[in-house]
Amino acid sequence: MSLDRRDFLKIGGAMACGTALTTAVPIVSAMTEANETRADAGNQWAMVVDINKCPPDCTACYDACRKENNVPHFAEPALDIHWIRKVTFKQKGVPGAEERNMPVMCFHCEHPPCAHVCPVAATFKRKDGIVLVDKHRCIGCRYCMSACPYKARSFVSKHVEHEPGQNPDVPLRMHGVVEKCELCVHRVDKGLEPACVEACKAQGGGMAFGNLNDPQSEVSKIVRSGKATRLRADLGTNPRVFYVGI
Amino acid sequence: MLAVAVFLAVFSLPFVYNTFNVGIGGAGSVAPKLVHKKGECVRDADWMRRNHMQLLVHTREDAVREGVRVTDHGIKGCRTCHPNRAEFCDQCHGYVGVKPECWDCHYYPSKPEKTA
Ligand code: SF4
Ligand code: SF4
Repeated sequence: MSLDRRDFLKIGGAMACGTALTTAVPIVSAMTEANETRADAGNQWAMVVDINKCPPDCTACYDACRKENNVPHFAEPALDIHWIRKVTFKQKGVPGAEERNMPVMCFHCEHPPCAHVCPVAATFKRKDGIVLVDKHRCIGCRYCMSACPYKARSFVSKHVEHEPGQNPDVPLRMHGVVEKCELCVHRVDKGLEPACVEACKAQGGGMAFGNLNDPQSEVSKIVRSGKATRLRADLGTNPRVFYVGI
Repeated sequence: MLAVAVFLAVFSLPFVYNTFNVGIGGAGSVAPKLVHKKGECVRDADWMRRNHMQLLVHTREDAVREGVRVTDHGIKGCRTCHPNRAEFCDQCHGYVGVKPECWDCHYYPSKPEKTA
């Protein structure tokens, strides 16, 4: 049998297609499972912190977060990892102004600069507005850390070991990736509130969590009332964490 | 002559390594003993042996990015039927010399002690 060049190419092409199909079919069928997503664009999660209700030395949110998310504690202050920072401040130019404190975490910005700069799309915004780092993909370049105006991110500079007492629902993070507040996405997907909000509420504090798209939710009402402010609203990042009483 | 000797030594290193050490069929390797579980896996066992990593990557992308929390096809699902990691994952991975990093971060046991 003799083939001219055209027939040879046709047969070759058909064979290549066949091979590609047989490889692709099992993978595609794995993808078409009935999947129910919890990242529903109808929910836009947000948080409000009324810092008038933050007692001077309260660390309830901070402690709850460290415990829930297995946030490691590194002794060197420059390397330590923070998902929540307790920031103290004083009103400028007001004589005798008292020192106050507030929790600062990732604000899950509507326009997150961290996600824009990530060269490998490891940082991304979920449909429900939660900004996450896909630690499987993060290459540890730390661009996001410089891009974030709120100092919300930390670099994992050391190996962290599994230990008894850690929360098995939240995986540890490897040496060499960047991590930050995830708005307790594992809890939110189960219909719970973030651990900090739960701990804060339990001791009468002023944190609230809810859906901005639901006009009846507590956060929507506070935001509508005009009492809530965003930090550095001039930057246009549109944080989803609001403060009352700044 | 020296160059040829060096070349041969370097070239045959993998073969020597495999013969005297662990690795597929090497002298030091122990063929994995499959532990057959009763019951059905989420896929055909043969398919799983070859393609479980693709399934895991898909469920990983879906869970992390889309919030699809179906655990039986994901990394948490495996642990419910195969509670022993050394017997289930490590044996074969060790035999073929691959080192996935899943358990550097994820917790293997399905119900670890929670000392609160
Ligand atoms: S607060 Fe920082 S880390 Fe969080 S979404 Fe905004 S820019 Fe990104
Ligand atoms: S450190 Fe990771 S998440 Fe941050 S920009 Fe680099 S790759 Fe993206």
